[in-house]
Amino acid sequence: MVAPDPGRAICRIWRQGGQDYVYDAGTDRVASVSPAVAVRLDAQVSGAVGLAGDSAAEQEIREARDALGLFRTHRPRLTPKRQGRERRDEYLDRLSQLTLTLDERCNLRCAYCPHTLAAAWTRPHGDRQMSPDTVRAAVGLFLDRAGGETPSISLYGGEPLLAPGLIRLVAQMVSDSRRPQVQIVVDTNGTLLDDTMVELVAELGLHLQVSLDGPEAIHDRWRPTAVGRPTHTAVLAGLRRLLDRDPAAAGRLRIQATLAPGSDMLEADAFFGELGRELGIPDLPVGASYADLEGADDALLPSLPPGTPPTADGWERARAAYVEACAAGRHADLGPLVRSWFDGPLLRFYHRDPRPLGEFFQPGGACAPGLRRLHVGSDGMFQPCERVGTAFGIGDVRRGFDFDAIDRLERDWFDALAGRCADCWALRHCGLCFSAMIDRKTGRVGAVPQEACNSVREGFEEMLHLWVDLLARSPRALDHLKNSSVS
Amino acid sequence: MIKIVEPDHRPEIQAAVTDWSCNCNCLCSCAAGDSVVNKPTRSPSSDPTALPTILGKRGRA
Repeated sequence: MVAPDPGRAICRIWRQGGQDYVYDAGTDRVASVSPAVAVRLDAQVSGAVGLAGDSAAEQEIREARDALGLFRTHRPRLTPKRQGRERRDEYLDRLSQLTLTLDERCNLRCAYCPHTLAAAWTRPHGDRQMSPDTVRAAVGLFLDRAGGETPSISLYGGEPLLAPGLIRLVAQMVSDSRRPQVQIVVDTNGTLLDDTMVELVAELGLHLQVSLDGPEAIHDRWRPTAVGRPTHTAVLAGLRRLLDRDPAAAGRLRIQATLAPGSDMLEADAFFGELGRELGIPDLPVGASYADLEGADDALLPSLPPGTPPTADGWERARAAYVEACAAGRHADLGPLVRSWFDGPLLRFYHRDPRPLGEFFQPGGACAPGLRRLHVGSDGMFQPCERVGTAFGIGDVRRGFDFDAIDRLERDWFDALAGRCADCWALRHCGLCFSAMIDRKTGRVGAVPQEACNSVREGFEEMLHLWVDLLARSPRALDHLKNSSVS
Repeated sequence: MIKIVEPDHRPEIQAAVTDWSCNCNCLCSCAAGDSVVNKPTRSPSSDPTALPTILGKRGRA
């Protein structure tokens, strides 16, 4: 059955740097257009007029439609994903990332941590450790059937280095399996990397993702121990100790920075650039994200100097630095944090599917729960991932996947979007997942709020503006993407 | 004149690049998910639904 065609293209039109542009969702392409075409398209997209006129602009639009496929008015029919029950044979065979909450305990009390903030949608700081039997059951399932080229097991907490015996158990199971190439990634705060722990990391070839927020003053404001002591010095000492003992660990190390109020993106970028040089890792991988303080009780947050912006500062300056460097062919001179922050969305758009919008479309950006990634809580419960807290149980290590729960979640997700995606110009780049159904204040699950959709459009539009800015400055400004790939 | 804004070297055919067959299009950067570090370019003001960083493993869309 063909989807209803409302007679309007799915486009976003904007003016930037004195030039009009349009993003066409049908072809997933950006085009520069004349002011007359922009005005005409804007009226047509809003439904005010059709395209039957004979003005020069209308003629140009029709020619672009015929020659380039732009501005077609076709709408896809929204469909839910295939039910989990229908694809149950794929489950486990397609799984490529297993995340285990090994230990709910943590020796830190990071002020932006949802556990510290007692967020309604997830557990508070706990004291439960995963039992060895649960570890064996979860890892056994994974190693028997895991698929993908680079299957990995992520050890998560709390602080997973508080459970070295369980880490050793996981490593032993991997080593004894037919999949010894499975990567084990420890998501750690990096404060416990003493000689014993460094030996463990070296001996087992563990990959580390270490949380480090930048310069000492910023990091220590947000990431104290449970008794309020600073941690920056311990993290850096641990990294140096690790690399002294095991220089090859340089290739297994990644930093994750949280940008909280009072921090500055460029300052953090400079810090990580210097850290990479000091550690002898010039391409030190650094990921970053903003602290999520929505709904947080101010009394639980650290005091900040008067006038501190509510989010990390420096985004505009970092963007300007990125554009300048790319246009001058100096992308490699940028620091690791700015590179990763701005490269990512550009890379995804660069590698986007070149095919036009098809007849059917599965809305939103949610995963097929448990298919490729699976989180196992300390109690053995399955959840789609660690980012949705405990809101969506989809099975457990004893009974396996609960396909009724998976199918229910898929249906709820489709209903929560309420068909609004068919007319959204950002539908091909929606990043919303199940977490958008969780009310952050109450923890209740319900409809996806319109603000979440607005946020997706704003984020995508910022990427489009960056894309245009770069290519307007220099046709070679995206040359650093030439040899990239996404896997 | 309507002119496409693309670098001349953008791949015409999407390799089996991303196995988004799970339909996951989230903006997270899982350690073992998308190998590309894919953080949002969003400015703070447009990121009201940013996911929790501490749970975002990742890697975090």
